[in-house]
Amino acid sequence: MDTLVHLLHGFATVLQPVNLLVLLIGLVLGLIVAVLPGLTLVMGVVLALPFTYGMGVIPATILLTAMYVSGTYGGAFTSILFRIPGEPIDVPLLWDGYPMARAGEPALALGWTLFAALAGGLFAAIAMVFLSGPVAVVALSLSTPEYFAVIMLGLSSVVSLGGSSLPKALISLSLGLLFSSVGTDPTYGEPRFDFGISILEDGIEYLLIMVGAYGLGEVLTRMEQRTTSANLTSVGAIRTKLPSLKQAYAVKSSLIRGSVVGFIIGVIPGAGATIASFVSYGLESQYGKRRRELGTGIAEGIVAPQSAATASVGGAMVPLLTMGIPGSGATAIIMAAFMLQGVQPGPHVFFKSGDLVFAVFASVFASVIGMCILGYFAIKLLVKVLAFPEAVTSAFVVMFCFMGAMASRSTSGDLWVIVSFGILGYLFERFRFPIAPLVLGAILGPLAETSFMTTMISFSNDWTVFFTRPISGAIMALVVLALIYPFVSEWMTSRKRRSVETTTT
Amino acid sequence: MAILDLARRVGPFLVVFCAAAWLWTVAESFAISTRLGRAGPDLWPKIVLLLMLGAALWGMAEALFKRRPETDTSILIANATRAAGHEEDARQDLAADAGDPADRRPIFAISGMAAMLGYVAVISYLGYAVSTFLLLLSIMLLAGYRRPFLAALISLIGCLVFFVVFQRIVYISLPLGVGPFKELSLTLMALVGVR
Repeated sequence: MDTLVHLLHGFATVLQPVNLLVLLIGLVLGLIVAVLPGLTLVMGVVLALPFTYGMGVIPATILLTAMYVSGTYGGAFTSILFRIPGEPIDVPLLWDGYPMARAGEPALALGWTLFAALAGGLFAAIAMVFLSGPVAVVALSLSTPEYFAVIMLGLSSVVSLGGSSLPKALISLSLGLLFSSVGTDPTYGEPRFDFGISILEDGIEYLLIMVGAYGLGEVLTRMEQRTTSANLTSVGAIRTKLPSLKQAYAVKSSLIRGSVVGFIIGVIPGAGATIASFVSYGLESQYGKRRRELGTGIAEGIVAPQSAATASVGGAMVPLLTMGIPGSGATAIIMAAFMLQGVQPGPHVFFKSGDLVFAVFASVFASVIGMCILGYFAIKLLVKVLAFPEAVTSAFVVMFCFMGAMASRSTSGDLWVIVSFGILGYLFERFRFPIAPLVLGAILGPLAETSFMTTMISFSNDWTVFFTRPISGAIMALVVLALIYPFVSEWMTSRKRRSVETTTT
Repeated sequence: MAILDLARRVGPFLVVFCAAAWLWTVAESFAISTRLGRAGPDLWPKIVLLLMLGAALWGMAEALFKRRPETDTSILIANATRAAGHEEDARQDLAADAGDPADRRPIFAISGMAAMLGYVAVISYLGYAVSTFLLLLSIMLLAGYRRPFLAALISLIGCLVFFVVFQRIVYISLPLGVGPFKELSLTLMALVGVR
């Protein structure tokens, strides 16, 4: 009952005129970045971050959350209508959404997407509200060894699930952790890795790492790829036709499966909307009633990935708000918005600043509903964004990145730092190192180091405490499991492949 | 050609390894350090550096001895697309946005870096407005925009909008530049009502 009362207060906060305006701006921006060539969802959220300096913590998080939610939906339009996925999240929609559109039902294909996003998003929002409380209670009981183990679990799953090369992901993570240790040591006050350079003495702002690596790095990569704007073929009148109740009822299993899987994957650090979308489609192909027809343009092939993608947002909010562990690039940026306002998300904030937490919860509900309304009525305008010249977008992205650096501390040294991270981001893309572990390492590094050092001091420098205490030991075992999972999976796949080859020969 | 390919695969790991080894020596020289029974400020960076050294060695070994084609997709995505029978579709669709690797032109990325570095280097001399105009224009042209006059017009409008946003909305003091550029910046400030 308390939860519902708090949630109603949260809605009252979100429905205040200023917050509602911020929510609307966030939804529109999220939909645009998901469609606009040369901009990714995470990049869009990063670029919006500097604009939150002057806002309160509630409008700031509402803005970024709204962008995050609607960014999982906007790319569906171009995937279904033009076979151009706005984001990797939308790739599975190409396999059934586009064929349905080609078969003369583009409006219905868009309607299924809207239905799936709405239902999956609302399911995850409800699950998020009711699961967060118990998780926060558990998080509150953790002491520093357990908290350190939880951070390690978050970082290790990001490394293990983020890409195909574990050594590259580990290097990316360790660079992020190392950048976060530049400057004065928090325990002893010892200067570290500043090399006598004044701009490094205060440490490297994680904001500069995020904006540089995601923003400038991506622009440099796109410049090298010489990508041009899409030529849009005519698909006739662009509109959305919602499925009937009977049609919707027929896909209930796919919807429930997609929403539950999306939510669970969202909770796991490192596995965000893209993985949710693919895994849900994969599960549909294994367990769906019409699995043999998948790929021919059936509703289940749209509902499964889209409901999972949107549901993953609600899941990702749970570890962020209850433990202060962001699981993806987008949630890391939302966490950065909290920290820029002097709020460290975690169990203490969850219980002491209920107004803030429930405003974020309410903003997820409002965002899901708002994005569907916007998507329904503004689809024609949104699709036109696709024809916007990418070169112009790139130039303005660069300026927004510099604006972020200037607004941060207003020193010219920060401009050098941000360009350096832009070049590093480009090199990462060039040599196929994942960027997410770098960013998460930079943002979680100080928390990891503080909990590690506090444990070492409290337990007489006995490092075995991380493994001998029951809860931290169990979590550390999960860390090991997360790190060996890619090897086990690869071994099982190659074994299966060998057995298939043996059978066929 | 084989040596070039090997250098391309091993090179990044070698650079990381050397950098981590050098940073280890830097961490050794911290005034306060870890002694027997007491964790010092060098302990955490050294743990991270050990992780980096190990990962770099591992990466080098993989690059030298393992001939598995590398993909950027997560293991979960690979498993899901394999189960759905869309493994090849996913690989192509995920890579489509990046274009054909053969069409890559590193010179444009390097020119972009030069433009960004140049911007930071000259902003205090040319002032915010002029250097922003030049950066917007150069990025647009380097990114392949083929209408130079329109690009110049967009850059002019863009730099004025950014100037107004900084001066009137977020109240950030901007570099004014020197000599005639300072005069220009002051004139612009007067035009937008900033004294």
